[in-house]
Amino acid sequence: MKFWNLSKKIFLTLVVASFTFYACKDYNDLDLQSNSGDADFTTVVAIGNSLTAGYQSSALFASAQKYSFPALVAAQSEGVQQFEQPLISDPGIGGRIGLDNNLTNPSPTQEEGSPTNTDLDRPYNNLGVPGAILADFLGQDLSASNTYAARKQANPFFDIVLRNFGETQAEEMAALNPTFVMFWLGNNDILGYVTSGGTTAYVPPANFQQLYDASMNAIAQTNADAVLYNIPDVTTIPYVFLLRSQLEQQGVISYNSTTQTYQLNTQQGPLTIYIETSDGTREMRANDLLLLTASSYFQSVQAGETPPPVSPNSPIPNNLVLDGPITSPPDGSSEIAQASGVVNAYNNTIANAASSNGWALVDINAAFSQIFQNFQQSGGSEGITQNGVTLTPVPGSLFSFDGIHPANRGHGVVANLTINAINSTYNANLKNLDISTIPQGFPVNN
Amino acid sequence: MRRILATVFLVCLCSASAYSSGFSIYEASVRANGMLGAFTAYADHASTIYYNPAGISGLEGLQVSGGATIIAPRSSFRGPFPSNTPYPGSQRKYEMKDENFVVPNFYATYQIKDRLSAGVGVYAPYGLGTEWDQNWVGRTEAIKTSVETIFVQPTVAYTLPDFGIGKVKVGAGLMIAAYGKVELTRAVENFAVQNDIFDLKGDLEKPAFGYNLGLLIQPSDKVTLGFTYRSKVKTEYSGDANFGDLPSSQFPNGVSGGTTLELPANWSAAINVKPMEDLSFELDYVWWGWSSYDELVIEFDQTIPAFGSDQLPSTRGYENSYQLRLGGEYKNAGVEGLDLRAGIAYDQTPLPTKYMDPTLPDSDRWLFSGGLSYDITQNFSIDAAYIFIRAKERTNRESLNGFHGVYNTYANLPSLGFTAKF
Repeated sequence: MKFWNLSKKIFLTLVVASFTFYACKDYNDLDLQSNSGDADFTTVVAIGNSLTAGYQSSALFASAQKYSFPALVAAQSEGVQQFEQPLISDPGIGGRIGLDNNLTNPSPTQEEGSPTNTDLDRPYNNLGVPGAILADFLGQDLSASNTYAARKQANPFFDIVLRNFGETQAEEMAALNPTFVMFWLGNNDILGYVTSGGTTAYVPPANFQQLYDASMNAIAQTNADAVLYNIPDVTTIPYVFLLRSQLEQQGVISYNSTTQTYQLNTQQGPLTIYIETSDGTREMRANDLLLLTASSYFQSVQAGETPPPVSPNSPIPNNLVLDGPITSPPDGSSEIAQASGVVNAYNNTIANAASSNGWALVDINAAFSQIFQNFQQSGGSEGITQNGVTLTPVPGSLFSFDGIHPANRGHGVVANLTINAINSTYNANLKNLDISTIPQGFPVNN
Repeated sequence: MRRILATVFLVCLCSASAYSSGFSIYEASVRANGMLGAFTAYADHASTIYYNPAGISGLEGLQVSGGATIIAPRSSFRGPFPSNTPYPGSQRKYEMKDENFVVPNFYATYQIKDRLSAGVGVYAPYGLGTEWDQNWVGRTEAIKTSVETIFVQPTVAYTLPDFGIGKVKVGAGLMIAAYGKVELTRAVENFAVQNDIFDLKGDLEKPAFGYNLGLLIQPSDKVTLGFTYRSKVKTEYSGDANFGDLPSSQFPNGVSGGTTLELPANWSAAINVKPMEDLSFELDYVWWGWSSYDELVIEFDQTIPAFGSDQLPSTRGYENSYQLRLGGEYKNAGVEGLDLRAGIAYDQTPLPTKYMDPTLPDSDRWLFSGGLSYDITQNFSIDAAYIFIRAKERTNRESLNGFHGVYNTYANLPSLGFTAKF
């Protein structure tokens, strides 16, 4: 009896002791080392389009979203406790362009992923909506036919990103009480014009300025600090500049400096190429660019399925060509001239907004133009070199396979530009990323 | 008897986990657990085959002991903190998956002659098991890491003729790594595919050998000095490497892979004092030669184009370390046949901060134990012990892989066993 009493006591002591130890999850508060300077990174919100969302290779998918530049930047501030994104399981939504097992033949997949981070009961920190234009931020109508409601209805990413926590990106941003906002909208306001070969209207710069100023007011009302991004020159993205030089390299077309026209190399010899422009059909000149979408057109021509564009009766369709200036000096009427005039006007608006609010500005336009210039001058071997890694402005390097959106390491470059801008504007000390440590993450569809 | 043993071990051959420094497991006996392994000079139990092989000399007749320790470690990671290497994800707390491991032990000793005894031990001196969520922020560092070993150790010991310095016993054992298994799993994000997880499962290729040597000196009835040396054991594992959906031109299908783990040499020096009948205290200093674990190299049977090599090395950078183990035992504590034990130990981690990663977030730790035995009959006792381990919170802002954060670990280790004398 005595033994049982004693052992009971001992047993109880052990049980009590083990429960005490078990409950002993004495986590200390984290001793965070603030490196955000005058900026407050407690709640970071990113506003934007597909670039901000981390869309790559024609799709929004988790393993690319993970390396979206807002996520990369947020992770560099020790104050950020949560940065949630509308993750979509691989291969994502959009028809991801992926490589095969031999890392060749990029082509879209039929498979789709589905949203995974759906239990979060508040708006996401990354509110980038692929396809969003500036007017979408505040939910404004551009015309009687181009309403926010119609755009939202037509683009499934609005529902995926916004869910039901607000009607617009601006409402959800405000609901999060942001302390810091990354804002990169406006690309699609001109990109639609560019990727359609000038057949879709751009948002006129005067409208853009109104929309942008209203957007800045909405951010200012939250008392958050911000970093703004301007719009890259459209001729610096591979979607616009790449195909012509690829076709030249492959010997499909060549430039004749005597006639100052591009020619299609046929069995009958080189024949002048005709393009359709909004001012009528004409010969393809030195400043005319072929959009990436024209590659299937050329395949079809070579297969004999489409009449070759060597006669004014069968020009390359307008929506596959971004025509450039043909007069010297340029009169500004060409598609490329119009697009770059619009981008410059947008960028003036953005720069003024940044300086009048005292916010940081990331000059993506200058950075990408420099990368493109390095690329052209080096004959395609240079671009941007960081941490021993050279990225050239082509798909599979700085860009993903859609030729518009940066790949993981391209996001790293944008993140480092952002970090530099934040550090200098806000006296902060965010660490740059080592680009070589970012996995390339090229999609493979298998 | 053999069939029973086989059954016991098949049941117990679950995973083992590291919860002393590095991936050693010093919990080789329920009785020793009660005194936190301060057992090198204790010697009065069959499990001395592990703690000090000299100790079996003098154990009368046939003695058998067996038991199992459940190791229930719990770890968390908070972070990641910024570094130049991006680990994008929310800075928050990530819990390691809850796993409970059963670590078996079994010993038998037989007194052949007065001075000469032989025995055999079966125990699991090394093991490790950590598993994090497949999608956690550190998935490229570690998802699942597991090492299991079972050693079998035939042992002989002899009491030397008296030559004037008290009773002197010597013993030696052949440590045979008879069973072993490793598993390494982590994500490779070079390509975006649905399953980007690299997995290597290897089994021990062939038994590996080492030895232990023991010395016990009893200058008086009240004092025993003990010394044990255990050699390193080089174990080689091989099995299948699987690269999920990663592109086969870079990560071929049907690859075999393997690795070598050099289980470190270690020694302990101990003093056991009996200030009075039924009461003893023991202090052990245990040294671990962990610097042998400076690199872990995975070797494949062919070149893996993505790695540009048939090897995947990673620096572990372990350093030699020590443990201080203090235990006490009070026999016939108020009740005839009831023995109480307690222990406390300090265990220095061999893992420098800069090499820390979530495969084994090791840190300096304090261990506390309590234990008891009760003699059901004169020849049969039940042993029980409980160990609680609290690892120091470890903040890492200097890891070479850039995966910075705060690790917390604690563990509960209940154990139950028996001791029989025939």
